Amino acid sequence: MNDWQKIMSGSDHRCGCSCFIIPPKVLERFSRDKKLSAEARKAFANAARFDKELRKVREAKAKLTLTAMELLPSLAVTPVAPPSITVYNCNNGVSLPGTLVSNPGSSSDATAKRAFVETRGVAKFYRTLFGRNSIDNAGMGLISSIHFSVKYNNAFWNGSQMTYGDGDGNIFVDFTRADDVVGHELTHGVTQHSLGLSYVNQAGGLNESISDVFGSMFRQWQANQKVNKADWLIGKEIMGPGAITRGFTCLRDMSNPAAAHCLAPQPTKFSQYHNGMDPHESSGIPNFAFYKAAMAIGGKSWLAAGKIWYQALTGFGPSPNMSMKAFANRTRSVAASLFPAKPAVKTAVSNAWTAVGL
Amino acid sequence: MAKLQVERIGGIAGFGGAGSHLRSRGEVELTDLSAAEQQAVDSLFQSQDKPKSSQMRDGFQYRITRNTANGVETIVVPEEAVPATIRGSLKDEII
Repeated sequence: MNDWQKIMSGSDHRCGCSCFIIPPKVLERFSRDKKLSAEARKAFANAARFDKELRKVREAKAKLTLTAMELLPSLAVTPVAPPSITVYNCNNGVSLPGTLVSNPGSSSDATAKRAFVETRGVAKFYRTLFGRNSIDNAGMGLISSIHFSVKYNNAFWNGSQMTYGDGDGNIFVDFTRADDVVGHELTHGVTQHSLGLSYVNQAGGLNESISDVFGSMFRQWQANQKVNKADWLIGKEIMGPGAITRGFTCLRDMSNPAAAHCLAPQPTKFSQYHNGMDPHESSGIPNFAFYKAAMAIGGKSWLAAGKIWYQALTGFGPSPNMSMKAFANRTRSVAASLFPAKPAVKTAVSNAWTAVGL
Repeated sequence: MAKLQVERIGGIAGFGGAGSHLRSRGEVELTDLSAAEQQAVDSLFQSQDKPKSSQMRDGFQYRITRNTANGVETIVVPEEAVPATIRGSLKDEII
């Protein structure tokens, strides 16, 4: 096996590329690179072909989901078996998915148990409240990898699974400790299989916001909280002692995105938005709108505001480059159609967006 | 001696954002990289391709800067493409 094949197979740990994602154009360029051996060029050509086929499968799966939603709306209320939930242990390496954890729900590893329990909770949240059958609404198995890398201060969704770091023990602790973080990551999967938002500019900010909105809503639902009792914080339970000592209580605060107690304060008005902003920054604007709408409506966030946001997310097919204004207007019209006898709901939603400049 | 300046940005916590209190930075001597890693870094700088269709969300990105005879060059690449020695050079901090 030559160096490039080792990289492609993920066995070249010198290069640290064991979960390599190479853009298709680069794969194609390497496949034509005469400086590489014929064997290596063939490996890259095969990888490029495989990548293309994999993308077709993903697109077909997303299309099937949307078609099912259009043609078989009764599926939404048909009882379905819960999706399979598996947890893998990376053992501080970076190869995904890692080693399968048997019976994670009763594991002595608290991280494995939390990853399993919270993932099962998110699946139940979507099934119970919105009739959604897993991330893709077609029963997709839910895979989580834990103990990723060493003192890794992050959690992410890579297009097909969740991955959680342990935190460095100073700024952050284990990322599975926060149920809203688990809800946030899984919701990236829901967005991928519905509105299909990109990850740049306004659509990127919306994408992040939707994950915060449903992550926070999941947390409130688990606690059976009304909106006025919720803290609206994102990532409260992953704050480490070094962050808490300095007065930081969360990553973001949906009720006050610019607050000093946030590790990453955000803008609150659309007038502060500019292209190129990190999605985790621009998401403050739609986050604040959701908070304002939910608070004005009152009660439990998932009963009205949540239903409106979910329908705006999943009811219209993909719109990868959707603007914040277009999403705002969609929630206004969905509010009117879902709650025709309660005009105050539409007014609350509309006023919330207007307050943030949309 | 040639060095790479590295900053890790993004992630669910929003490292390196304009208002963020989180920073993750490091510096690596090119000579500390293995031959394979140096080759990987060169490929990253030579490639203008971006993984536009990636479904990675909350993943880290790395802003890597180097000085060359042609001036300062900076690239932003996904974590998956970054050699281990560079990834290991970073220190996360609250500012």
